[in-house]
Amino acid sequence: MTTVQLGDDFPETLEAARNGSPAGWERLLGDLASRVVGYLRVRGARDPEATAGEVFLDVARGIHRFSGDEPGFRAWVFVIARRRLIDARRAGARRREVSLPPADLPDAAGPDSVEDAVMERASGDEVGRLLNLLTAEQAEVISLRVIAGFTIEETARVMGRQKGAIKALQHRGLAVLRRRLDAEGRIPEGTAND
Amino acid sequence: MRHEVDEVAELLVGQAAGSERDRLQSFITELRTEGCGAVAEPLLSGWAEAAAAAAEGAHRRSWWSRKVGAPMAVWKRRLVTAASAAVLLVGGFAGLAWAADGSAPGNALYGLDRALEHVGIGQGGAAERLQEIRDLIAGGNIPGGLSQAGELVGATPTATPDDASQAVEALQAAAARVASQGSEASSDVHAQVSTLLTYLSENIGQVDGKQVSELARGIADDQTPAASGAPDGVPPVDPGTPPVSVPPADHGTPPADVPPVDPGTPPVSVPHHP
Repeated sequence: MTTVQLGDDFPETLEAARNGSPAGWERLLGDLASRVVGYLRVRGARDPEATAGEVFLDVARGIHRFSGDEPGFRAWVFVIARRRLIDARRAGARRREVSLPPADLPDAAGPDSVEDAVMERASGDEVGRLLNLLTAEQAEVISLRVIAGFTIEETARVMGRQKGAIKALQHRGLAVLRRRLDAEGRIPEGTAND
Repeated sequence: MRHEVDEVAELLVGQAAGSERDRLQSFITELRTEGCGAVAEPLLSGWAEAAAAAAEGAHRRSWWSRKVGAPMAVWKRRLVTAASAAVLLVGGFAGLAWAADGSAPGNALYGLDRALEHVGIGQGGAAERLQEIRDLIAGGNIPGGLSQAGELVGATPTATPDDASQAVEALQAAAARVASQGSEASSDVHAQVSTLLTYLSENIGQVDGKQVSELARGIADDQTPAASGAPDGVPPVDPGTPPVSVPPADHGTPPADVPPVDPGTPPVSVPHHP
């Protein structure tokens, strides 16, 4: 997938952003902003754009502590987005008094987790429905890879997991989707060979 | 070498084989479309402006917090507090010691100055004593200066302790004698005191007791009634005799019924009758 990279302009843009230049921030966020919003949306944020705004404020407050290259910056932004999403889910779960176990952390998430419950309500579309078939971590891996455009290594960094674990999650997630799509007859007759 | 297959990467670039492409490709495409939709321009501008302001504010805060406002752990706060108190204490003590160091006899801090010198703080020593003598005499307190000179000579190591002892006594007697003449001192006395100071300055480390005694007697001898206007009946002090207690401050003409004080006789204790 194609991501719009700043390339050699990244250090200069980062410095401008650090110095409080709105133009610098617009360039820095540019392509990244839409991916953050998309990630938050498919991951079930109630108000993806508002949450994205909070993510970017967190990024701005911490940008003086950031050091690294452009892929590192993108990964860092998604680490913040992921944490924000987890916080938002916890807050949302408390507000709605959902009678579910406090298993809303991604590591402990399962089919009956808060995340899945939120996802069920938030995503009425086909993509959301299919992602909802996956465990939280499988859905996370697929979302980060497809929407954020991360490699397996970058996804592992964002999620704080080993590369092998990400590969396994991805494989199992795709297998679940494949089975469901097969069962639902989305595969044209005669083209399926497994 | 085993080729590592990245299923998502293949789906993303449309390289998945056969039915695999048909099965998941549409899902991936939908996910990508859903997730990567463009953000409205005003929204992006708003975020950029808010982020710019936050970054600027964070920069100022981080600079300030690095200076003074950084939140500290409790143990660190306690350490800083203790260190500050120690600095204040040491600083205050050092300032007091510094202020006391230059004080002369009669000054409120003089006692502290001497106490600190005893424990090795402050300049002290013969040089400071001599300066104190100079200050006292320059301030018109010749008796005080002579008395201080006695202390100086007493504290200075001499080859013959007896001579030093006699010199101290002579200086004390001269001090008493000058004091008995009131605040006015003749130019001869000033000249003699000046000679004494010069001698002490030049021989600060090794005083000759006999020489000092001679100079002190010279000062006392100048306190003759004719030269200084001393009251009649007050005999000149014999520097060879032990020092006597200094008479009352006002040594002008005594009342007619009070007999003149004979410094050579010991004070008579008067029994108290209630």
